Amino acid sequence: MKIVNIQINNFRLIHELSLDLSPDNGNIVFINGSNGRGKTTFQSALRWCFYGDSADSRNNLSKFALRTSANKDIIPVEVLVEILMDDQNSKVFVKREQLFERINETESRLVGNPSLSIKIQNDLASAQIEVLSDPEQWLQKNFPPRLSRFFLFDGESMSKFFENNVKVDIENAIREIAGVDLFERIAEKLWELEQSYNKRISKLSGPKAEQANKEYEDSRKILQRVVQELDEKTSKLDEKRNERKALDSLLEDVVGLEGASTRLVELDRTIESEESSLRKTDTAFQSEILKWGCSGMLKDAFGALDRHILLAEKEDRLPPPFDPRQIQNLLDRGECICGNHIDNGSEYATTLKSVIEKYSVSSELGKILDESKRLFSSTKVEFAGGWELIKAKNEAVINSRKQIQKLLNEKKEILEKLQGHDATQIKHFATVRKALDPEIENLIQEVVRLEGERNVYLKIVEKQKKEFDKATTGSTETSMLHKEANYAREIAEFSSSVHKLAIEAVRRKLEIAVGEMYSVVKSGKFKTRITESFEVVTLDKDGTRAVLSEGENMMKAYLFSIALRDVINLEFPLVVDTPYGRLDERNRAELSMMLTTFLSKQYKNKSKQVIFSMHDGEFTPYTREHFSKLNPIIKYLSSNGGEVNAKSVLGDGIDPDWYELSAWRDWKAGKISG
Amino acid sequence: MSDVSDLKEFVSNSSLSKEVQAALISMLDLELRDAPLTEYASVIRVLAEQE
Repeated sequence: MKIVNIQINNFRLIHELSLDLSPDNGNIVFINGSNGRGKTTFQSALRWCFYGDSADSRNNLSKFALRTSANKDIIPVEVLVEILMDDQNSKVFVKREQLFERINETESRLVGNPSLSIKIQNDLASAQIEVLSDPEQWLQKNFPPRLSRFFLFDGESMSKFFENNVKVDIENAIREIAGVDLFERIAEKLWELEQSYNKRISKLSGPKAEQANKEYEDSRKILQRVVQELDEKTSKLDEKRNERKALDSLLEDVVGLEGASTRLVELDRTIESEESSLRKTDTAFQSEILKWGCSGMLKDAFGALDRHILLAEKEDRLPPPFDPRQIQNLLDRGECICGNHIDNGSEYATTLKSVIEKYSVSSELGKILDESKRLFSSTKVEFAGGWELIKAKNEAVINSRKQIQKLLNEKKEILEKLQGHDATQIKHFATVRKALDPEIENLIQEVVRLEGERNVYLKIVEKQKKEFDKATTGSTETSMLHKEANYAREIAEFSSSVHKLAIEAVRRKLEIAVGEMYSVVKSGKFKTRITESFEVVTLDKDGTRAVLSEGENMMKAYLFSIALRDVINLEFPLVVDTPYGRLDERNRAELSMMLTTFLSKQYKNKSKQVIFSMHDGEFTPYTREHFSKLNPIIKYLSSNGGEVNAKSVLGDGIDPDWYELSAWRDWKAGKISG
Repeated sequence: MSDVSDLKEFVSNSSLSKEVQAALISMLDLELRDAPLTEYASVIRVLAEQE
């Protein structure tokens, strides 16, 4: 069923909106608008029309109705959403209305009850139109509220579509499709019927039969509880076993790598610590070099001198290391060491003076050489110690560098092995896998205990049934009632167990439908599996769990929701507000490509529809180019009436204000193309 | 499969006897229109009388 026309009046921000979606107008519609222009309101209006509204949002509805009323003096204000749908054989008009009355500037109240009307034109050739007496029932049957999540949604919820809390919605949807509630309700009624037959039989047969029936019913209740618990535990056990199998298969590929991410974290920490230690060692090394470098240079400089001193000493050619001042003292005193007088003008005095003069330099040199020899000897000893320190520090630096290199090599090796795998995810899977064994063991014990309990109660119930039958009279009436009770029980048993088969059938249908759709955009790259716990899992060709990009994951959500429509034969349009959610540029481009591929192949016959509402950050010139081959209808929502009394109106094409944005300016100037 | 005809087909392909299948199919219609328990009892009575 396709939407042909949407009329919205006085609904929140929207004052009056008419959207013609007749076949000639194409089947892919983009409604664009900056924030606060009514995109979300548009979707809310559709939701209100199909599913009614809660009290809270009804208050909102009335406030907005007042705000959007063209003339506030005209009361009451009518909120109306009317949707015309058709398929090849019939037309359906769905209209929901509600009147509001103004109390004062800010408050309003409901006038009368909300009204829903559905008219169906079954024969397009005739003008005859049927007005449904119970339109809510028709809507509930054709647009089940439990499936609403998959009919109308926003991009953000699409990106979180397959998170755990959505499994409940998927389970509910599958149960709805499989008619589980219907079968369960039938079973409950038949159990009730059987009990009433047994009561009548026991009343006709007397107190003994009544007592036997009471015991029989009590045991049956216990049996029912045990069986229910056993079903739950068995199903949980199956689920956990399958989970373990899937994880084993996943971890088999990356055997030995489950600890890889832990090791990577360790490595990063060790490398960091080693590098810090290297920096310290290197500083110490340089400091030793500076400290001992001078001694080293001295050692080299003195090396040659030392050798010459040693040689001169050996050959007794060293200058006398005496002090000429001692001779000068003798001259000054005028007395020789031997006690003789030294005449200042004598030849002896002149000789002494010339000796003083001659050795005044060489004797100083002799002293310096002597001092140098002593100094050099101690420098040599000191430097020997310093040199050892320098060598040790240098060795430490070299070793530290080697260690860092070794760690870096190990890290590189792990990263190479991990290529294509998410290390954090592997670690998570390994942890989950480890916790599964004790959980499964506990469940096995529980199942064994409950099976034992069930078998005991089956025998008790069987025995008590026989005793009840024996206690009843064999009249024609009781015999007929027995037959009826037996049939009621037989059908009830089937009805209460049939849902498992029905769920299985729906699950299989959905798996196939999603898988086939994914192959359209990914050429058979992925397989889809819907687990017993209603998780929609994507597997690679080899059966291992595929790691999807955010764009691919979101595409899977789109495909699941489309597949659901196919399985229940409901061609409801794909209505999505902000279809890209919070995807980044790369994932957005990937999703655009997948969507255009899918829509151009699957939606080309125009029997299916897409209505996307996008803000200016989503509907960019690039988005426009991506979808241009689908020839979409482009509309924009703009606002008039200022901030307080804003009213959304629909226009054709792109919001003229957007041409002020640089991207659209470039596009207009022909700078952006496909 | 939300269409009741799918559910009926599902019951028809089950291992139940033809008579019981027919009774359950009738009950699906009864449940859809939220019929009272007496109408279920009537279907059961017809089954028992057929035996």
